[in-house]
Amino acid sequence: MSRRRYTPLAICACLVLLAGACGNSGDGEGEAGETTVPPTTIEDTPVEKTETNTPSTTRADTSTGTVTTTTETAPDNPEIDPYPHRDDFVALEDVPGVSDDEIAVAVIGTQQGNPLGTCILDCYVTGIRAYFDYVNDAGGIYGRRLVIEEVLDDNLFGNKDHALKVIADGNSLAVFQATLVASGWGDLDDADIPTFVWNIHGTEAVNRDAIFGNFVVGCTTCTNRWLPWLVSQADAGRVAALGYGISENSKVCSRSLADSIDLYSAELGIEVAYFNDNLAYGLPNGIGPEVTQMIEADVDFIASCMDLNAMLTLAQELQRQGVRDQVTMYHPNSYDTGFVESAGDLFDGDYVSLLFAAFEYEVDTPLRHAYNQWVPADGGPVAEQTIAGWINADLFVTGLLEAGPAFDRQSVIDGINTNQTSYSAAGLITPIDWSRQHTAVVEGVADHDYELECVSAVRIQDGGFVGFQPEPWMCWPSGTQGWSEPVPTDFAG
Amino acid sequence: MILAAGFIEDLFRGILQGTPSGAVYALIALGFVLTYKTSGVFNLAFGAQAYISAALYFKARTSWGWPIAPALILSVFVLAPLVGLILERLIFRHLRTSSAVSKLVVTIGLSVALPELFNWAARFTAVAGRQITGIVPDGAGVFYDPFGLYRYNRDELAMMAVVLVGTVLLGVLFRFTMLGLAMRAVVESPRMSELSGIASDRVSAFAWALSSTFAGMAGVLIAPRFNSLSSPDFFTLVVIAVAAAAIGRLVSLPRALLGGLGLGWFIAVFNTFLPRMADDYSWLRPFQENLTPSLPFIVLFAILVLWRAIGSERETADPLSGVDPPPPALAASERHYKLTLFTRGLGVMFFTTVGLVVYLQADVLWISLVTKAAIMATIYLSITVITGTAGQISLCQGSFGAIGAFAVFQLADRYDMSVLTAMVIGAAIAAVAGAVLSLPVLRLGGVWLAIATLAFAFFFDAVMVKFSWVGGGDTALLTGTRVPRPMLGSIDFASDKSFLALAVIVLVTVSVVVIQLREGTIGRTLVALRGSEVAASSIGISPVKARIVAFTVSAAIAGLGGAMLAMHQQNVNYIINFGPVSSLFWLVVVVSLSARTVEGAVMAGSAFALFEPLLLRGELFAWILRGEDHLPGLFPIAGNWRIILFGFMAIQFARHPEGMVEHSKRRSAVRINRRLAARNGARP
Repeated sequence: MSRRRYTPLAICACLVLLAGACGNSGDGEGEAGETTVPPTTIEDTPVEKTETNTPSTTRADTSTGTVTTTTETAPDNPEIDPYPHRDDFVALEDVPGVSDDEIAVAVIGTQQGNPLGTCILDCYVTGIRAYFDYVNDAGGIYGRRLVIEEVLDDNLFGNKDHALKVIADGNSLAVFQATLVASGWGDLDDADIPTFVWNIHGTEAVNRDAIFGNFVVGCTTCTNRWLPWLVSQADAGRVAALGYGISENSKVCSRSLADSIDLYSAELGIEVAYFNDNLAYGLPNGIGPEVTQMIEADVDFIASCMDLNAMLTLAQELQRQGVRDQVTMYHPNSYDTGFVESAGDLFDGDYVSLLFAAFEYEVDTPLRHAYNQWVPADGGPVAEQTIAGWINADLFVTGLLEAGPAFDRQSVIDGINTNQTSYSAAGLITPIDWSRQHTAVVEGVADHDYELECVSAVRIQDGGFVGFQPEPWMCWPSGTQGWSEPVPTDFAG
Repeated sequence: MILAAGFIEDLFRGILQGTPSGAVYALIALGFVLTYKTSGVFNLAFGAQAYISAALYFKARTSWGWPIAPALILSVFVLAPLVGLILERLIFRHLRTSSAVSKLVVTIGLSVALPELFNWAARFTAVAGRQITGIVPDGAGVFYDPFGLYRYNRDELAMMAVVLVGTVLLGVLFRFTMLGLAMRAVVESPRMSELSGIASDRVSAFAWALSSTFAGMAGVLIAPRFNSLSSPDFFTLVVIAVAAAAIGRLVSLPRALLGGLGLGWFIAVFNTFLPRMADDYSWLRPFQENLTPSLPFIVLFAILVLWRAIGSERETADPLSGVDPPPPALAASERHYKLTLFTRGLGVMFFTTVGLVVYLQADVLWISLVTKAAIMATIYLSITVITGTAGQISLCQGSFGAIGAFAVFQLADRYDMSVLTAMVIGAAIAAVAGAVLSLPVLRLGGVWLAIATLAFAFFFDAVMVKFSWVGGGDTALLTGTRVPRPMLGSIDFASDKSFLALAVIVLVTVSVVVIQLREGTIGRTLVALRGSEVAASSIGISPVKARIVAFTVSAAIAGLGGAMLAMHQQNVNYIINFGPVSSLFWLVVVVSLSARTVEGAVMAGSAFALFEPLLLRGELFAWILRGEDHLPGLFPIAGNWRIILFGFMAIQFARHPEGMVEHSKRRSAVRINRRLAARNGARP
């Protein structure tokens, strides 16, 4: 009898397993929701080491980290080309991931099991691939083309295993990572593999000299000037600061926002009218009582350290209680065109800040223009995740150029850490001094913080984003706390 | 007077604000009661069933552009009952006479497997930042203000209406119809029902289709409350709503309704008044800070622990179940001692060979994976003690593991203590926590004990981890929760190979302790209690001491394993290693293979760490075929199949509570004994 009972189950299990297995061998023509990313070898367009590719027509600018392509056969002025050796081929042996034709890297990231529902790995890979195509199209580096050797989906929990696999295989010169759980960064750092990351895990990157983010995490507990400035831009004065109780990051962030308002209350006529850093994660019980209390406190600006789902819930509750048009919100994580568009006019008037120059601002450098050209050409969206991959790839190539034709993993790491003391990806990010910014930033000690405190913010209008700053960045000097008006800045200038 | 009027207005507004979330909890609680009354299953997979329908409804509405009616029919009235029928036919029909705990474990497995299976089959991924459409047009955008104090949107009103109508209809079904009576009879005893002429199979199938439809409707109605659509959100809601179902003691629909609404009101009123009071009375501030995020879990735990009515009633059981044979003894105790010696020798040879090959030949990845397998086996031995020996279901083993891991992090980071000493202290702290937790839950058993420990796991997650003396506070914010590898005299365990040796030594040591415990007085007492608490008590065995010891030892082992895991990964990695859901997954893996034996824990640890790389990624087949290039195109199989397959493995637990490993051992022992008997001329 029991054997009979097993039979349907066993058949189902076999069919399901077989179907699952076959499902993964698909041709990638699934719809947008498809989740499988098998390790792949990216076959880029071959770059022949012949004159037809005129490698001498491409040059890089060390001050901006850009790769510029011209139609000339030789640089106008060799003195200003910091990397005249970029086309020199040197045969290398025993350098992982490097052959006479290719420089291979691995990408590890989260696709399946991503609870956020956002495009992470696919978009990130697109950014890297587009940059590699851009460089390869201009002749590659040291006579070799850049290729993505494999893309590994860590399935949320397998980052460490995949990092160890890359270490064991030894097929990649460097690793790129866009993951939600960064359990393998320490292993890659210990193995001295240059690792370029979407740096949402600042704690896993600090004190690790081989980990390079698309930005670095500054002082999380310190006050800032950009939030008070945004409040003043909104003509608001009574501010609420909100955070999740379950997340230490969110709590500290909301406390920092409130302290920032308090610090400049006299100069700007602003004050903290409501503070709550104990909200339940995901707001499963709504946020009705809290909004009522904010209304009673005459709040007209809400600064939050919550995800975009919670911001939508908050905006809906404000609308329900009839005060949405009287309150401006600051969003930390809502730079998502689809998200804002689908909300209609719900977020109109709100502000979003970014860690890279917002797309709504003109950054007149070849690197930005190339991004706008190559990423869409590779099928990617002009979005935060693709530019993270693009910036990471640019720093990797910069590291290669710093290392010289006889490069290896360690010389790439050293090249960046020694020479890139003001790396801004041609104005796409606030300049980073990689010689000192691997170290955790402690309050009151500015040695390892950014030289400038900058923000690139946009306003939401008619279900979209619009720029309102005169330049991509508004900056204040670091190391001081006195109030001053921000300086409009374009790091590409 | 004005003050009193303001207070009443605030109170009333708080109640109005809490009603929608209360309706959510009531809806789920009603689902619990419905499933329990019609199938005898405490269905922790309710959230998974609700998620499936909600996700399909969302997909039909947004991706396929279907109108509301066909999308609702497909997701709620076609898919949901179909899922219920399949579950009943393939799984629960065969479990009618199993214990409630066995069924609970099966539903835990389903709760992790079903969403993944659906996501794969429907090619669905989590949705974030999107307004989930409800079942009425413009449900989120049109408001009504019936009392002039707080506005409800159409989605919320629809949900509240369904809750009320559902309560009435289900009440009528159970009280006034023959079908309702038949469903309850089948739950009580399918065999006696059949003797009375009731077609128990059909009734049971209808009951599952009905309860599954209700789950589907609940999912579609609840989804608009969130601006995301992911299965963990649904599971968390289910855990919270258990408090409401507990108020109804799983059988009363009106009480479940009131429990759900009351929970929503209580949370809203609490959030209305406590912050104001904390402004006036600073001593309330710590309570506000810590209670707010964990309130639902504290309420759940308090209800279970303080309400004497819960846990005191006899577990529903088939009156004819006495004719079923008791669970058999371990296979090793029944077969010929030479066979036992032979198989153990074979096992030692196998593991020694594999160990040597790994130690001498493997690369960093495989050394790490085997080390992880050894450590997970150590942690799983804690389940061997509490579940395999004591017969109790604990869903907070991850929290005990986290205590050990955080202890090592804190003691090594703050006090520069020897890591190995910190590991021992961490295990001791976990043991104390286990002993303390065991005291209030002593009188609980079966399902309620499992739920109480799950509430503790969520409480630990919501409150304890954020304390700086646990989770690290500012230190963790700066540099994370990094943990160094240990040193013992001149032996440095920093290298992966030496740490593997340490992990194996710890595993062997803990295995010996567990075997000694099982074979000793405490172990035999626990086994006696597990067999029949009444019978054990009648001969003077006290369950109190034995259960406290079981909890304490189990927590200590989990703490020790947690500390080892943190050392191995050189980071606590709390969320991925020790979050509340991890305990569920661990339990499913262990009980499916064998919760009663050390071999079962070792197999479970190996499966947890090695199943994906060996089988799903195809490394084993690549080795057999001599190279990855020869692998068929179906490899690598997606990693979420590990969750799906392990989840469905839990089904085996209810059929064979001894686990698949023990079951196969027994079958082979029987076969061999039969052959030996035949060889000796005895009749089979």
